[in-house]
Amino acid sequence: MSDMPTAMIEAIDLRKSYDGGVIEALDGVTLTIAPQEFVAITGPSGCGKSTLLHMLAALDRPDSGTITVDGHDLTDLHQPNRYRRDVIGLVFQLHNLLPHLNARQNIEVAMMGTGHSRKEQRARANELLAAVDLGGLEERRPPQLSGGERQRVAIARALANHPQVLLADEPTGSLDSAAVERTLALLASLRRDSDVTIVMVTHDPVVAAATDRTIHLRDGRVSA
Amino acid sequence: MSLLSLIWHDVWVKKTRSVLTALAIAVGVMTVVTLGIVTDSIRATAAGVLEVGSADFTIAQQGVSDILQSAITDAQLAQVAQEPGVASAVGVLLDTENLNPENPLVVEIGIDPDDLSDFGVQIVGGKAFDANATDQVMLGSRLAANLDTQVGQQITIADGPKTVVGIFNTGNVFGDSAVMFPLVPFQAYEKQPGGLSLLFVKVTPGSDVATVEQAIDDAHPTLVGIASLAQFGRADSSYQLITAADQAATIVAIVIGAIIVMNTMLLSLVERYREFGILRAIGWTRRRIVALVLGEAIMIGFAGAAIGVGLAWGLATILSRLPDLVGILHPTYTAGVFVRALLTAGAVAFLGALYPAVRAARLSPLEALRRE
Repeated sequence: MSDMPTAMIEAIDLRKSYDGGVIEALDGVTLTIAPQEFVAITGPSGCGKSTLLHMLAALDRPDSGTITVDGHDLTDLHQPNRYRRDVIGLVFQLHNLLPHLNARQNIEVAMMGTGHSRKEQRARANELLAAVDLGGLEERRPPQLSGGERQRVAIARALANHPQVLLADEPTGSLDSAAVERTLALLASLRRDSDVTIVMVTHDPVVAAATDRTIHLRDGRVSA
Repeated sequence: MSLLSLIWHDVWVKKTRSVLTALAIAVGVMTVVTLGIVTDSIRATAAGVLEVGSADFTIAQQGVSDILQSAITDAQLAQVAQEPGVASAVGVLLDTENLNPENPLVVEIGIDPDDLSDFGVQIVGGKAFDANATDQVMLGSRLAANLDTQVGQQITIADGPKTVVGIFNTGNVFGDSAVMFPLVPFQAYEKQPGGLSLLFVKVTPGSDVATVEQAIDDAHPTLVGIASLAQFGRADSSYQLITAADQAATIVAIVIGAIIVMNTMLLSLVERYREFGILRAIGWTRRRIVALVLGEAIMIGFAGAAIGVGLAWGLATILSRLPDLVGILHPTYTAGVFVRALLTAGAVAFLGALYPAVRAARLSPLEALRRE
């Protein structure tokens, strides 16, 4: 980890187009997110919010512009896998758990290759599952869990390697209202109890209202 | 969770795929191992033939399909015996006989009694036969025990009843399972007066075996020297053929097995795009993905090897009991058989899974996550 930067995330004039320039997904996005901030990125479908999140996760690269996360220049990243493992945690809308592994194993898989012993992995996974209120469900596989429980396992997995930044792509998009509330409460408690910076893409203004700040995208640009 | 435990978990959870792939590998392993057992059996017989004469090297007729069909004349024996560096040359006439259902392939050796010592024969009971006796034989100790026959008893072999005048040891399984006849009467019985099958040559002390062998090869174009098992194919084209067939079948089995494994793994890859995308998205390296896919294939390969060895054992046992092969095929299960099975399965699994593993590792995580 680098020294505490003034901005945890800094994007300058990000541009990304698809289909030979026909679709402008990002059209000069510039933003700054401070350490430990809980930020929502909102906007209508196709405004570029998921594209932006994928760039923050080093899953995609901008055509131009610069993007820095925790001091890592993502446009010149030599080991994106290591960045994804050690610097960020990713939560997807569809949880993306491995269906043949149980809840604990899904978390342990994210810790493979980090030098932790199996015992340490197990202890950390159990600790995280307890933290997301899933103690006792460690042996259940995703098909045996509710949508909300799966999403909490996914959040626990994202936190496995003590990330600086948690990136969540519509984490409440497929949940019922009770599960949405619980997930938001979990993210809020993370915000409160740890030093993680949270960036959450959502199209739901109610969900966005639970964050510190909302960045609104429209037609690939920051509009508010 | 370690990579190994994840590999084991993946193999175990996807049982049907794992079992089908293991069976495909098992068939390849079975083919290779069975052929290996057959070849080893033939090799053991060949080694027995070479070692029975306690010679530095053996001479046979060049280009015969079966070394027992080799035909050499006693004139050639006399010439070879005169070659520089040759201390002794013993000529024997060989044949085989189906004695009874328990002993369907007894080797008959016609040899001059004066050559018994040079041939490495030690008489452990009775005496040597007379040079011109038409009704005397000596039995190898294993054959005598097998037939439960003592010195002085008679056995019916070749052209009629013969008296067992001696029991001998050669220190060689092949030799000790044979029956020996006086050379001249045996040549008459075989209708090959002056005919021999093989010459067993000892070189004089200080002479180089390879040099003497080469000199005889050069001087006698119709003969060929065999100093080791590796040279056996020079005189026995059947041996050469079966060795080549064994190697070819091994290659074919590995290629077919690898294609089946590749097909299975590629199909599985399509089903697992999303899984690999997730693993890449949470920080797995390409190398770790390759290790996962190869590890699964190799673990399945080892299971296939175990099944294949079992199937090969069964097949070899059945083959050895076929009427045409009783007494000829003696399956031996050496460490080499198991090493061969493991290597075949490992090669099949590795080659078959390499391309799918590389493809899985090269998947863009974003693309993979978008796949349903």
